Amino acid sequence: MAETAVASASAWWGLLVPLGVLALAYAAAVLEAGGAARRALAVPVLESARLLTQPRRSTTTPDRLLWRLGVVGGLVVVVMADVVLPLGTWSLADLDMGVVWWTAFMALLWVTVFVTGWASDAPFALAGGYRFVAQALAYEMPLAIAVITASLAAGSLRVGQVVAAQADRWFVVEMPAAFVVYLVCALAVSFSGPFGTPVARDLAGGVLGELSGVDRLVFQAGRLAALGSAAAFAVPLFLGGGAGPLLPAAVWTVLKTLAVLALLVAVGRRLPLLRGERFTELGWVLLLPLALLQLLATCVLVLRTGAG
Amino acid sequence: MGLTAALRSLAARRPHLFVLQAGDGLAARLAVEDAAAEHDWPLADALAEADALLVCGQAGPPWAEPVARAATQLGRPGRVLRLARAPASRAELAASVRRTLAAPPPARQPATHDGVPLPGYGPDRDGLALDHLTIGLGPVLAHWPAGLVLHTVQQGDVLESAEVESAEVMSTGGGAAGGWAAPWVGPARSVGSLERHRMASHLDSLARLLAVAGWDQEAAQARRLRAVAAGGVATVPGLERWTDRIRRAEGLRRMTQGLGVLTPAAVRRHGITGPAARASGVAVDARVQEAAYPGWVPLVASDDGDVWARTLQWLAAIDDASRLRGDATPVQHSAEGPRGRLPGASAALLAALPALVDGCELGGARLVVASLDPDLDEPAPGAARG
Repeated sequence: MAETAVASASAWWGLLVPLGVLALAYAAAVLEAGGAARRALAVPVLESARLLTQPRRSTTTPDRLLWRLGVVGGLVVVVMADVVLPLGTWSLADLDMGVVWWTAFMALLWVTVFVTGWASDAPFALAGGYRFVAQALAYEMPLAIAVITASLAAGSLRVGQVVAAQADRWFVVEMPAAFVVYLVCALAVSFSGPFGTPVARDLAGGVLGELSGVDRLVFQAGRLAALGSAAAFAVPLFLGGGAGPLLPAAVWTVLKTLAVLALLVAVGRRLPLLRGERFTELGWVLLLPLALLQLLATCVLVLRTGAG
Repeated sequence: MGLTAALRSLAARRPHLFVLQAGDGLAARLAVEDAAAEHDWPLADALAEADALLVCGQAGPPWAEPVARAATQLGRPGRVLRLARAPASRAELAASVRRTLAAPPPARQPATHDGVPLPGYGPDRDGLALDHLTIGLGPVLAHWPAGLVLHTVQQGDVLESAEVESAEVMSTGGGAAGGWAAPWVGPARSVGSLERHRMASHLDSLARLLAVAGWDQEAAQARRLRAVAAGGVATVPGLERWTDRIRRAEGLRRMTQGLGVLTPAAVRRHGITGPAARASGVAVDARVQEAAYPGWVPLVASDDGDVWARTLQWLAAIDDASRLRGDATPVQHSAEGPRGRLPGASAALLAALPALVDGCELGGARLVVASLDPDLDEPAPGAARG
């Protein structure tokens, strides 16, 4: 039985998980700002200051409770999902179904984003919510299959064991198609880059359009945290966790996360928005069959090597 | 309190501006966009995001109500800066913006509204009974033709019907300054000067289309190129590379192909001329008969008539105009403006618009409007040539 490569840390470290999530969100914001380094580092700080000093506004007949829940929900859901992510060789909660835990909590983003759009009772925001749900329907299956492929090769849903199973060879080498599908779906999870139609300019901001002040800040933080979390989850799943020469495992985890995040943002910036029906085609006609083929190939590999 | 003051001073360093072009505000809007790009101040997509509303141009009586309503919906309510003409310098604009932001907030008016009526029902394209939402697009909307108001009935996010509000209503300057068509109705100029204006106009339209399509980087580049093109006779560095890049953009092509198809029959029915007509295969060009353009052949880059064909047409026209930018041949009168034969080029586009967006999804409708980009400040048909 493969042993886990990750030790559980004391529960008190859980207080630092929100800080870690915000640090990831900051890193994602810096990479999205782009351009010169000094400016990119300052932009998220200036934006946050700007939004913190803006008054909060509302539409005429919103569903207030749902609106608040939707806005805050994104960040909360990502913090919950991130408890299973290991930092180096420590994990806060190396649950025995950690992979499913992460996927399930990220799926709750469907609800928070749609509700943010619906509850404000504004037509553009509602249209943004529709776009997000249509997009989510297309990417959720390929994402789940890509993630399950890694679990299958490791023979476990525990994140620590997935890391341990990559001791000889990282999964990015064994299942490259799953890695690519995962990256594409990671961008879609956080509606960034070409999948940003729910918050697009042609809908006057879409789901974001009616938010101002601290509401906008928290929602944006949730979006960036989702992007950071998806990048961070790629590390134990496909890139061998904290494995690497010379430096401690925690440092390698951070470096790999930042590398994946930089790759996602760089590719996302070069492409125009993919409108709903085009992405639906991409998700169902290209990503899903690709993910299934990779799953089949991995099954065959697992059966042949007798791992289990 | 010290922390609030510190946050406010940080906030003032990167304000988001919502730029609204009101009647005859073209020159002011272009100057504001260039200044915002230089200061690295983002242009807001939505009023709720913006720290200040910049009203460019002489916003007359029809604009009073939309601007007042927009001011209450701003991220920082009440911060409205009116620029009747282009600011004298970028420093002056920066100072005005900072003054506007530092102004004390207005007293909060109690919200008065008679409740929101429930939408009506009606059959949609599949025969299902769905809500009819009446939504007006414009006049206060980012990356939207100035002064255009499109009253739409939507079911879900599909436009069931659209109606253009009378153009004369919103362009209160009466088109006195002429918008993008100004050089063609003004005193005699050279071919090079007219072609440079045409280049700037098409680059502005492309910047708007790319912004609506969500391609920020290229939209910003288009605005930068426009600022240089309007400047002088010198070559615009990077223009050819940029037009090539847009032409080869697979993502943009797949997104816009087949959208908003303008048939040749519709072109003839509404009297559409200019790039929109040529993109549908109707090769009309007033420059064929003009002495200043000897041997001119109308250029048809693609005859599919969809949004992508119009994009290709603009790109080809930019490359053409770039070749002629140094031509000093004097022109007494040329009728081929950036949107077609003057007068009446934009009026024809507006007439064709409702049929084109009917049945489109909201994002698609925005792309169609951006691909036509009518200029409501153009002199109306029947107006005397200046």
